[in-house]
Amino acid sequence: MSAISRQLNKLMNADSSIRTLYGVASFLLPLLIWCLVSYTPFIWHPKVLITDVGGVDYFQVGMLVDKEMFASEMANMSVALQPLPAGTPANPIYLPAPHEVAQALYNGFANPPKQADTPSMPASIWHSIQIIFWGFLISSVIGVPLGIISGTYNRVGRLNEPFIEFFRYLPAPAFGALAVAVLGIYDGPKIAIIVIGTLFQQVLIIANTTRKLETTIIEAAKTLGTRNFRLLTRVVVPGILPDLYRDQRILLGWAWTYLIVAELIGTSTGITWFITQQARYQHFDNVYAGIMVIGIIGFGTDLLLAKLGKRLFPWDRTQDKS
Amino acid sequence: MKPAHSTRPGYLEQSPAVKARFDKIKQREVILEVRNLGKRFVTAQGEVDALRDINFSIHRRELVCVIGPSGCGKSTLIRILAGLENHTSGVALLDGKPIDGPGQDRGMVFQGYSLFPWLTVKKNVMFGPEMKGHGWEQAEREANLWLELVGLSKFSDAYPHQLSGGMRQRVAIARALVNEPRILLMDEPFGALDAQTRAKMQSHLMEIWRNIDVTILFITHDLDEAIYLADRILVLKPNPGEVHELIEVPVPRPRSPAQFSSPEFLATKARLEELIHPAAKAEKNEAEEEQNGTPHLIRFTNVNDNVE
Ligand SMILES: Nc1ncnc2c1ncn2[C@@H]1O[C@H](COP(=O)(O)OP(=O)(O)OP(=O)(O)O)[C@@H](O)[C@H]1O
Ligand SMILES: [Mg+2]
Repeated sequence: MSAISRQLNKLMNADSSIRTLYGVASFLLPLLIWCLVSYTPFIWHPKVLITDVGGVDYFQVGMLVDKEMFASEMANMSVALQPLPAGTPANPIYLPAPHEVAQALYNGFANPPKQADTPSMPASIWHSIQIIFWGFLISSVIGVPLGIISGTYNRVGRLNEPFIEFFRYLPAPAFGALAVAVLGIYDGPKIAIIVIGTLFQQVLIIANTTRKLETTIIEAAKTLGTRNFRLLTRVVVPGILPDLYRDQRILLGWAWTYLIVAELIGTSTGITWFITQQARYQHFDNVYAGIMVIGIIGFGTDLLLAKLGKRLFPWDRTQDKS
Repeated sequence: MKPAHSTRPGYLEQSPAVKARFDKIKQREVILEVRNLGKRFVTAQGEVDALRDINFSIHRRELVCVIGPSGCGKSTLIRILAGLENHTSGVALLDGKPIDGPGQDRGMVFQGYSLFPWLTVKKNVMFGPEMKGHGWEQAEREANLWLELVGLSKFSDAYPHQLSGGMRQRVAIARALVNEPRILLMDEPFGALDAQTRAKMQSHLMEIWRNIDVTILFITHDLDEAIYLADRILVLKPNPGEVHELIEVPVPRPRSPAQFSSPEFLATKARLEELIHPAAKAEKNEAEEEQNGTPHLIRFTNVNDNVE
C-alpha cells in the first residue's frame, strides 16, 4: 500500500515539474510566434519604412507606406528618371515588436509620460486597482454572507435566487448611464459597474458551494450539540472556506474583465484612460504595455492567492488535484 | 412471532451464567424506549412506509445490534433516535423523555467520514465540550483523555485526511463519547473498513464499552459482527420495516474471536440467516422481487467466451 503511494508520489512530483515546464512553454510559444512575425521580414511585413524619400514629394523619412504603393512609386521614379526612394520592410504600426513593448513597459514605470495630457502608467494602474478593490469589496461584503445564508437556509435562497438569476442576465455596462446619473462621473459609477457585474454571480456561486457541503458533517455537528447560528459560524463557514476562497479567486478575475467597461463610464480613468490616450497618439507599444500590465497584475494576484490558499487551508484536498 | 417451544432451537438455550447476566441487565433502568414507532416518507413517487410499529427498549449498559436486509429502515430508525429525522407515529423516549431533535445526550457515529476536515484530531474531539460551553483548557483536557482511550494521542495534531479509515472512526467514537452521552448510536460504523481493521475495531469498541458507562445501539448488516458484539439483536424485515425478532445472544461474555465456531454462536447465526434469507420463501420472494425491479442482466459477451 505504502509502496504504491510512494510510487504515486514520485509520479506526481515528476508530473509537477513537467507541468511547470508546460506552463512556461505555454507562454513562450505565443512569444515565439510574435518574435517570428516581428523580426523575420519575409513572414509578414506588409509595409515599407521610408529611409530615403528619393524623388517622391509626399514621402517622408520614417513614414510607413504600403508595399504596393512603394513599388509603384519606385516604378514611377525610374520611368521619370528621378532618384529612387529607399526603405525597409516593416510591420504595421499597430504591431510593435516585443523589444519595443518591453522598452515601453520599462519606460512607463521609469520615466514620466511625454505628453502633458497623458497619465503616467503607475498612477493609472494604481487607480484601476483601487476601483477593483472597492468594487470587489462592496460586492463581497453583500454577496458572501447572502450566498452563504441562501445556501444554508432554503427559504432565504428561494426568496432571492429567482430574482438574482434574472438580474445576472442584465449586462452590467447597460447600467452605465444610470450609474452616472445617480453616482456622478467620477469613481462611483465605475465601482457600481464592477459591483453589478460581480455581485449577482457571487451570490449564486457561493450559495451553490454552500449547498455542496456534506450533510453528514452538518448532522454530526447537530448530534454534538450545535444549534442555529453556531451551526453557521462553526460548521458551515469553516466547512466551505477553501471552496469559498476558490470561488472568490474566480470572481475577482471576473471583476477585472468588467474594469475596462467600467472605466469608460463618466470621465475615463485608470489604465483604460492610459490605453486610450496612448492609442490616440499611436503609441501602440504603450498600448500593449498597458494591456500587459492588466494581465500581469490579474494573473499575478491569482497565483499569489493560490499559494496563500495552500498555506491557509492545509486540510484542503482538492488543491492537490489542481 | 416466536417459534413453538416444542422445537426449541439452540439459540434460545442460555447457560446459567448467560441467563443470570440477562436477568441482571433487565434489572437495570431503561435508557431508551421505543413504542409503536412508525415513519412514513412522503415523496414525489408516493408514500413509503420505512418503519411500522417498532417496539423495543434498551437497558443501561446494554449493547444492542440492529440487523436486517438493505432498505429495511435501519438508518431511518437510528436517525430518528438521533433526532435527525422526525417519526410520524408512536413515541421514542430517552430516560422517559420524548426525543425531540438532536442533542448531546445521544452520540452518533456515522458510516461515512463525518469528522470536520478543517479541525485537527484533537480539535474534532474538543468540538462537543466547546459546544457545551466548557472552556478551552477543560475541553482540551477531556479531548486528551479520550484520545488516549482510543489510542490516538500521537495523532492529536494530525488532520483527519492524514489518518486511515479505522483511525478516523476511532476519532469519531472519541468525539461522540467525550460528551458522555446516555446512548451511543452507531450506523454501520465499520462498514467501510477492511476485514482485519474491522475485527480490531470490534474488539476495541467492546473494550471501551466494558470500561465506561455507555449504552450502545449498533447497526450492521454483518451477522458475525452482530453476534460478536451484541447482548441482544433486533432483527428487522423490510417493506415496511418491522421487528422480526429480538434475539438474546446466548454467547457468553467476555467474547473473543475463538467463539465464532462455538455452538451458541453457530445456532444464533443459523437463526439470523433463517430470518434474513428465508430459504423456504425464496421462490415467493423471487416473484415479489420481479415486481420490485430486479436487474435483468443482458449478455454482453459471446456465448463461446464463457468464464465458468
Ligand atoms: N429521505 C427519504 N425520503 C424518502 N424515502 C426514504 C428516505 N430515506 C429513506 N427512505 C426509504 O426508507 C427505506 C429505508 O431506508 P434506510 O436507509 O433506513 O434503510 P437501511 O436499512 O439503512 O438500508 P441500508 O442497509 O442499505 O443502509 C428505504 O426504502 C428508503 O428508500
Ligand atoms: Mg443504512
